[in-house]
Amino acid sequence: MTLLDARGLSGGYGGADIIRGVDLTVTEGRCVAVLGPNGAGKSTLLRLLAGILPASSGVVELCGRPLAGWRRRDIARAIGFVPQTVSFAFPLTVAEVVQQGRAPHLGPWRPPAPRDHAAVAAAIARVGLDGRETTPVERLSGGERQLVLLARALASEPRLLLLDEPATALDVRHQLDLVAILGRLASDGAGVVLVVHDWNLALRIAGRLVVLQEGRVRAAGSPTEVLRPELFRAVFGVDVDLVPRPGGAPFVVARQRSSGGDEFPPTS
Amino acid sequence: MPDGAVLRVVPLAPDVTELAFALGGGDLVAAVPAAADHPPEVKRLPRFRQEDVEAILSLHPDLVLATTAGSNARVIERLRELGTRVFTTDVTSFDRLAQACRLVGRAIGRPEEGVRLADDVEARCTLVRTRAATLPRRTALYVVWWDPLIVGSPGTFHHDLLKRAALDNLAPAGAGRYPRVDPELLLDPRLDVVVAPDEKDLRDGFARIVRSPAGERLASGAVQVLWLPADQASRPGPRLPEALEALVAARVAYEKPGSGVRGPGSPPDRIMTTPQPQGRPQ
Amino acid sequence: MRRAADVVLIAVLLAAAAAALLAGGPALSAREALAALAGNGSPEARTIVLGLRLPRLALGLEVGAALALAGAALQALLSNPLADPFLLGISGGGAAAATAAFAALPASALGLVPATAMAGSALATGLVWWMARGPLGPSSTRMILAGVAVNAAASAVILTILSLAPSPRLPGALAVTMGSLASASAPAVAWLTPYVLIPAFVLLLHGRDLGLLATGEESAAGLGVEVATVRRRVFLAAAALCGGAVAFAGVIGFVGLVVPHLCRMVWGHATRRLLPRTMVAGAALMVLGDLVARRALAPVELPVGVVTAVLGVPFFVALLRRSP
Repeated sequence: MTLLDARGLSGGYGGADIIRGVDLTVTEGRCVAVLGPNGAGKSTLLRLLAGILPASSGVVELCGRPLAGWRRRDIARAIGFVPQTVSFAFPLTVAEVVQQGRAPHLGPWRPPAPRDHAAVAAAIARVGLDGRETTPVERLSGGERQLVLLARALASEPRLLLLDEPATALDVRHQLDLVAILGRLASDGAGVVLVVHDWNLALRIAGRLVVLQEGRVRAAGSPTEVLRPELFRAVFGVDVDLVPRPGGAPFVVARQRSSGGDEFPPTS
Repeated sequence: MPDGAVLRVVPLAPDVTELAFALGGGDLVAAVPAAADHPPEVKRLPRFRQEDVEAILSLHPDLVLATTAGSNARVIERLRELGTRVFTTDVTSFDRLAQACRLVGRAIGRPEEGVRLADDVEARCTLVRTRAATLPRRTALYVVWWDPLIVGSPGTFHHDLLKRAALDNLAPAGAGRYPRVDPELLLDPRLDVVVAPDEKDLRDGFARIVRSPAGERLASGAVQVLWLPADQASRPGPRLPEALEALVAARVAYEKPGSGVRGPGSPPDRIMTTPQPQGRPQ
Repeated sequence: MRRAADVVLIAVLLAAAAAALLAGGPALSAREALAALAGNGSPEARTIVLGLRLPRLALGLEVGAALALAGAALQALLSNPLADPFLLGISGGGAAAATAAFAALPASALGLVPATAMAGSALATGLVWWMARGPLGPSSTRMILAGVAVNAAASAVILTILSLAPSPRLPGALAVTMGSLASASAPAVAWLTPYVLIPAFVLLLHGRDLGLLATGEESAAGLGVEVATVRRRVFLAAAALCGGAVAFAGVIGFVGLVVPHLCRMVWGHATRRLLPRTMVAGAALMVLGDLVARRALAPVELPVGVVTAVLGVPFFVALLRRSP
């Protein structure tokens, strides 16, 4: 079943479109990685998909209904949004931050019920921060903070998870944990969209890749369809080696800045 | 000051303006502050804003007369720094008023007039003393503002004004000359009399306070309210004895003389001295 | 531990309220006050306790709760621990308007001063809002910078007026800038009540949203907060709270900034838990502060803002040093 379907999606800030005519579909159990050079509009795309930023044209459908017809709180129940960073101006504890993930399920007055506490505990355990519930987030490392934000999104038990560079501060072990967590979510039937810079991480997590350049989709499809050296040269301006790996997608190794040249035809 | 040359005097407040004129030095006064309105001759003189150091200097004063009651201390300091002679009066009692008359008289070259005016102040005080001696002692406040309640403390000429009218000041000492006090003070059972300058702002403030719980004893007549001519009572100048005479006259009219028993409570608004022409100091 | 702190807070509030009603004043002893409260005693005593102290206590509760709640809400809304009604110029705008009204209005119209103060606060809020509008909507940083600018303008207005005002009006004008609960009256309390209760309801209603906004606007939107709507409502509510407080008690500093932080040190930083406790703590601090302002040099009154600062700062420093 299709969870999220964007067609001809455009949008940006203050009347200037950053995303222009993007199509993107996420079905149950699928994981989509959005890649592209800095400034390509990846985070903006994620905000448009989450309905945080209104689209200037095109449409996003969540579970078959246009996003514009949804109440914000209902969107938040369906979509777990993990921003790149949040402001920790006040030193909340790990449990307090993760508890925020239950907000879409609670009204303005209802205090958290045992069911909410259970979801919070499960989410904390899932990212491996159990035992650290009362630690103030300001005392966590950058990577641990990213895990707290992931747990916050998990606590809302979303059908779709949108993550904006969730792995930039994670060490190798936690990157593997992230792969496992997202893999498990997908196998449970959730959809995942993640913005990521690390191609090899994207290839481990996602079955489908979307490459953005200047707000447009330059390539989309399965790893084998997308991974072509010409694409890297045209979009990123680098020469890459694709090192074959038995039983999976190849490793991507950047060799040098390319001297320029080849035009890569955009996929439609 | 070379002999024979005419002294140029610039007073910085209405009270010292009045003093200069009362000493017969009106012809020496080069200009008056905007708030000065007495005696009538001042209307013919040029005016300046009290804080305007440049305007004051451009008058080329030989002597500036200032007062602790209403002159800006920083202006005085600036003028002194720039080499202008400033004489500051600090009238905190009638004795100090008499002293100021003598000193200012000497400073502007009218020493005999100074002595005469001082003697006059003292004579009027003596006269008042004999009248006040017949009055029963009462406890009083001198109100400068109703809301917040601001009163004259010991160490001010308003305190001396009360004392010479056989009134004991209920205001506390040691917290500045005109402290803000608890409005509960107006409900203190010891309070018999409230004295206030009769000007529009105070009248309006009074109209509000008698309608509030704090004004209950004022409204019921349990506390006698005496209004004094505003300029005379607010400016520690040569007309201050008039305020004292008015206060004692109002008290004598109110009390049953010699019996020590308070007259019947009557609406406070009717108990007042003759209304004075309105004029706000400054 | 938090439950115990709640009990202590309520106990402090009740004790402060009782002391405010009963503590001997210049005109009557504590025993007389108690008798008056019980319906006995002299008419004067009853007037003092029921006519003066009770409205003053009620005004203190309202003003303290209003300022502290506004501070806590603005801190969360702008995700900035330094935000408070002062920094944002809301109190300053009200004070400038009230001072101007004091200097300019005919004495018979001085009853309009509270309304003018509220209008001033609303105007300052609107100005800050307008200046803070960037290409991406109002940003917290721009808002605080705008607040600093509005504040500077407000102080300039106040100082200009104070230096030009006719001297008989100065006491009243100064009272506005110094802050005092002395003009409390039953009508003032009744007037202020809706300006406290309605915004308080709005802010408590959005307590959870404010907690999410404290982590940033994108983060809050992702968790279902209608950011634009909530921001507008919270700002209006804070303007009403501060405008009302300034209108009836003048400018009282410190409460809006420090009470929320005092509460954070005891109850943690979760906004929804914090807001109601901030109200109670603000009310308690204001009543205690006013009690000290009235009694320390009785019958002379100190500016209550000075007292709340003197009371709160050592406590604040102690908690700051102790907290991890």
